[in-house]
Amino acid sequence: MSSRFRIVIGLGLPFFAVLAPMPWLSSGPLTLGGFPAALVWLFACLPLTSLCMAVAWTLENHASQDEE
Amino acid sequence: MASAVFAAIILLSFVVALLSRRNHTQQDSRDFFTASGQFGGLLVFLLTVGETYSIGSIMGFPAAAMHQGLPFIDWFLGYIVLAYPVGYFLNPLLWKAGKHYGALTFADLFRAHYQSRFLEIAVTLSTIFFLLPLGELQMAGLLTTIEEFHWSASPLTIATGAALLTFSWLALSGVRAPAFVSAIKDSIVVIAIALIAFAVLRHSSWHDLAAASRAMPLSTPKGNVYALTTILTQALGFCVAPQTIAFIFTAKSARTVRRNQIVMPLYMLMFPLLLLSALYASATGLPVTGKNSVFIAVASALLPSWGFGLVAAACALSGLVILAGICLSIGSLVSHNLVQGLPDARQKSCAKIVITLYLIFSVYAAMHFSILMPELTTVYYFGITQLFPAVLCMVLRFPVPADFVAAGFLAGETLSLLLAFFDISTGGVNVGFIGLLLNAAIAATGYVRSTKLSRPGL
Repeated sequence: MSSRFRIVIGLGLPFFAVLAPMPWLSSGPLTLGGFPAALVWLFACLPLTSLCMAVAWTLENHASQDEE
Repeated sequence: MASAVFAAIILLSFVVALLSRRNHTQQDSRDFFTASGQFGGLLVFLLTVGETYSIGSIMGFPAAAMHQGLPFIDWFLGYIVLAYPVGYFLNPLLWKAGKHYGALTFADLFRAHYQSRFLEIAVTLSTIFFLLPLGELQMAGLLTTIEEFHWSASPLTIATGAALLTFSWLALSGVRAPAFVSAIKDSIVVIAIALIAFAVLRHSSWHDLAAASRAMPLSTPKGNVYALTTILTQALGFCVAPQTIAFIFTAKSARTVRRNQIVMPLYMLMFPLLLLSALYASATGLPVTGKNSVFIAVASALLPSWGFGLVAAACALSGLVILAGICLSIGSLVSHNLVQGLPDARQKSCAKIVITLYLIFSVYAAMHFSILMPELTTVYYFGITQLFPAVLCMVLRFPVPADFVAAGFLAGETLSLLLAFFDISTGGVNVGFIGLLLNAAIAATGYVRSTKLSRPGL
């Protein structure tokens, strides 16, 4: 899998998920379960970010890496 | 009882620091500063993730969330969580660069890669300048914690005791001590935060907590601009912080460094629980004396005596582990990069003298200044972030001449400091971000110029 695709998944997606809805969610009165939607979404982004990096990791060709 | 639990945990940290010395009684400077790159995944994880739960986070986050609401929570959590994906891609490259150049400190990378002694000195001095207030931050947090015990000891005595403990850890086994103590610290922090969250949920209704969260200030258009630019600035700065790079050098492999990054955002799941303490204080109108005392005040109000001792010890160790990391960074930068040509054994002695001086400075500063913790963190980041373009050019091997790199980061730092110092309106844009743009533009000019020169026929 191309490194560009891994960067999109592992880096681009978390940045988009955190930053894109922030101005809209944080300025408005929208709530989820009684809590501000901005808070709920930001907390949801924590496992989501881990997931994105985990996917990028699985797409990596570890055998060919000169890492050790 | 609270004091006994607190004292027992602090004593335990000393014993663990002593044990970390086992099989490493004869340390050279490389082992003292980077554990000879022998740490496996867990120790590197504990060292690098330690920044997430510093005393600034544990005490500063609930306090600032309570006072400033969503605009603060946005940038504070946003930058930490986004620093991890940046580190996922950047940190293994930094580890490889460190191995390639045999670097002991991050300033070694600049000297070796850019072949410039001036750049080495410039990054060393500016980094030390921006690291200086962080020691005070840890000390101030520690004093706020200890105040709740109402001991008869003066703040000066307590801060001096904390400085002595930190020094003893480092003198015993260098970076190995904070790494091993981190294992206790992190376990206790997790237990402490969970204890408080449980107590809050027991003493308050979900409905009241939700109402308190809805009462938090919402963001404004200017607040959004600040949050977005601060997240970008600090997420990049987090990855090039000197102590973070030093911890990366302790790892056995680049693969270990990368794999650790995947788990780190999950470690942040304690923040929702930390926030509960601020919501509880707001919902019940709990009297809070100090600017950063919300967390510790809630612990004092809701937990049994032993629980409060545990929470206080967690806060204290969080501060001291971070302080130890900063001490090692400054010590290594002075003894290895600023003073050149010292024999190996004298580098360690020189570092210990520098560490002593820095601890004295931190105690003095904590006695005389106190500002809201996250504000101090912001000042630190707008300086440290200016290293990012230079680090990126280095690991990606972009041909940027050393004078452009130096001009970029010095211009970025100067502009950020001037904008902050004279309180010039930027429409909400983080001043560090403006400095970073200027810095990146200068580095890009150097890249274009260097590329053109290397292709004269085109």
